[in-house]
Amino acid sequence: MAKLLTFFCLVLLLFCNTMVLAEGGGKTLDIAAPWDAKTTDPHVNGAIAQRMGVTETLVDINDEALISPGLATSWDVSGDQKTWTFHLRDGVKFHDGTPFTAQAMKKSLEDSLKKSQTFSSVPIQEIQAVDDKTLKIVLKSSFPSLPAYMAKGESAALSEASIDQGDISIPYSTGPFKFSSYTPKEKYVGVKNPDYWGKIPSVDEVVYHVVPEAETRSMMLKGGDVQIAQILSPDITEGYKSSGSFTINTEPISRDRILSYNCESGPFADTAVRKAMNYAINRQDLINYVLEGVGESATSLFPPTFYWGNKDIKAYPYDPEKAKSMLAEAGWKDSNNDGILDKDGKKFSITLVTYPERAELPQMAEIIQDELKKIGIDVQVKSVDIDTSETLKNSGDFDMYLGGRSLMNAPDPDWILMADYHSSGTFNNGYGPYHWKSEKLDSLLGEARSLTDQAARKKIYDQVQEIINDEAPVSVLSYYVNQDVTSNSVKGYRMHPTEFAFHLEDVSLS
Amino acid sequence: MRTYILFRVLQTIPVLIGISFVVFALLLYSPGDPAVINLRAIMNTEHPPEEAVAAMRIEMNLDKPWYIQYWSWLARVSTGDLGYSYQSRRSTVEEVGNAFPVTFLLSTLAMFFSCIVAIPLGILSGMRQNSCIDHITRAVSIIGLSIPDFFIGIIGIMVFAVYLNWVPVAGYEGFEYLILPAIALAVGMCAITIRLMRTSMAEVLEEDYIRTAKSKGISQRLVVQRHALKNAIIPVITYMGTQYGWLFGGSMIIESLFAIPGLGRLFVESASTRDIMVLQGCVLVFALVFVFLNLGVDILQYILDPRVRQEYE
Repeated sequence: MAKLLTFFCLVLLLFCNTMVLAEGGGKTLDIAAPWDAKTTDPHVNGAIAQRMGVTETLVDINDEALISPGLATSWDVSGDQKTWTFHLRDGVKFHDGTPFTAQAMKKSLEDSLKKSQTFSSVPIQEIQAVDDKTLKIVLKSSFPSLPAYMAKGESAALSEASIDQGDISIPYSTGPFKFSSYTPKEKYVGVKNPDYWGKIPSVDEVVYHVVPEAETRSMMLKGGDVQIAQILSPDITEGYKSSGSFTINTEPISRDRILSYNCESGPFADTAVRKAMNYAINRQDLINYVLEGVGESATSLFPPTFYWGNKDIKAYPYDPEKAKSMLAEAGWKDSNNDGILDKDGKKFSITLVTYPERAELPQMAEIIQDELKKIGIDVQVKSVDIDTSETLKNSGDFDMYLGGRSLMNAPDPDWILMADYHSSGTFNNGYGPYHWKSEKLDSLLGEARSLTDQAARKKIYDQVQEIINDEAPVSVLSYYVNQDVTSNSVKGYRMHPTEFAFHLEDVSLS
Repeated sequence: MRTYILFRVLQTIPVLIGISFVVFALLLYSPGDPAVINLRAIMNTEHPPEEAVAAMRIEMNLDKPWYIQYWSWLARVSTGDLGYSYQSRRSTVEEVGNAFPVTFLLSTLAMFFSCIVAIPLGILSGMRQNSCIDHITRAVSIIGLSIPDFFIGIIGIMVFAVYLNWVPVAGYEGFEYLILPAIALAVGMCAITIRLMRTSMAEVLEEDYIRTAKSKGISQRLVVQRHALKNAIIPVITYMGTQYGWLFGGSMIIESLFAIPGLGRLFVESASTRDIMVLQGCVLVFALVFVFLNLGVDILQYILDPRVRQEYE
């Protein structure tokens, strides 16, 4: 037995030794995050390559979540709003040394259109390389959010040699980091691109570790295995508050928690009842009791800190008495004194469907259930898996649906408003209200598509948000807030409100 | 012996048929249309056209009764075609094939750690019943049994990875990344093995043939080595064989906690993303591991235990 134990100890020491020997070399920045890149082909799934600074796109997204120049320094649109001209940046080289030209970008975008579902709703007719530095995209119809789509990771600029690979295993793009390796479900590695056209990174290598468990990401940070742990829950970050060795970074992101109503049948077909819900739910309670205070109570669909948010919309205050009187005006009274409101012999008994894949949602549903009970509404919470919840919602087999919704999958309001609030969206499978139609909203969204002037579009989208707020086909409850923790050796790290980029070229390690 | 092995192999056939039904039922009753899922992978679009879905349903026999679907599925699976991952667009065989060796290594290492600690301690405890070492061993095994493996994992990370910095916290970049998770997995198994080994050894030491050996003046060490151990270890081997299967399946939480890209994590991820074909592949592998382990244990028992041999000869 003693021999066995000695053997075991020796093996253990050998492993530890190997591990120590493996360390060293240039400056490596390690990040732990929950999502996997899934593929090396950015035209299939481009988010991680883009965030890591490996790929770049024609259009960038700045820290105010607005589109800004990327590989295209400027762009303009023809009078009929159908031809977009992108003027490409000079002096840019792909990672394989070939120059970045309009011809290469054309080939790249055509590959992306073929492979990615991202552009299925974009009416692209033709892509033309006018000269080395001018690219034209001809549309079948006006589509003002085209530049926003050109910012998505799937529209990454890749060299012609990359495209010739078919299924791209080595993407040669133009970013501050070159693709080094990808191991599914483990890590994505980039190395410094010394020929980058912009700011040359100070770290030599960046390693993105795929770690789905938040607690494990936190332990990796504490153990020194990584310097940045992304998306930690408030209860985890709480433990870092008293530590002087780490920095907690907090950033509201473009994602809402939304309560959608079945506007076709049941009590929520009545606008007054939907509006009453906005007074009956205490949004701050949901944040305090479920999110430990980390989150922001919502007013309009887009957070007011974003350009597209309507800053004039006043939040519905928590006022259960007003909610009660509005319901009474709408004919809902407790005629048999059983504590539940009724109308025309029907009780105000409803189902609230939600899913546990976002852990906070079922807990929030229970608080909503409790708050609505106080004003005489009987709520049955159905927390089912996300697929089942979507099936229930899309078939109208629900009264209220609580879910999370990303707002800036393309950094332009057109994307989510057309999909979720235009009647062509609400009468299909979707994430907005169910069977709700506003002719005014439909015409405003149509009008916004005919304009390219941002300020004019903003005015329209402000009106659209007012309509959504007034008619309450959904109640926007809160905005998501992400928390990343970095070790104090990391300098220059900043979080992005749309999660499009990590800006690792700005990060240095001390 | 050949007859026995043949008999046991034949016995596994109904079990394998049962497994195939369960795995097929996953495809049939999981949310989501398999034709749509398949087309998403092939056409690379979230919403494949309705005509394509209709054609794929015919191609996949989804328009046929379940038993015809089952046969066509079985025919496909028997040729090694387990379909595609909806998430990664790689073949299920490739996905499972990449994850299997990691889990195999992790479970084997856990088994190894468990054996080298539990068997000697169990023997010692059985030989010296009610001694101080016996009481300590029993107390330790009860504690080991009552603490869940993920908790041991978290404590292990905090002590050995975060504070002592002996081993890495999580991820998988080499063998050393498996030490801590393997220990976490091994603790529960180790606790049961100690108790089993102790009881088995204590029982064997009470047997007449041991008393005879002792009366001949053979030292206790030799009695244990030459006579008691061989008989006492048979129930332990049987238990460890099946327990290895549980280690394999039980790796789900530990692999997720330690971010190890093994079969357990693949199972959890494919379940959460409704990656049905990968899920099927994982369940199939877990089930096959159990079946073949049981078969292996039975054959080993046949070799080691004359009573089993007598029964079949």
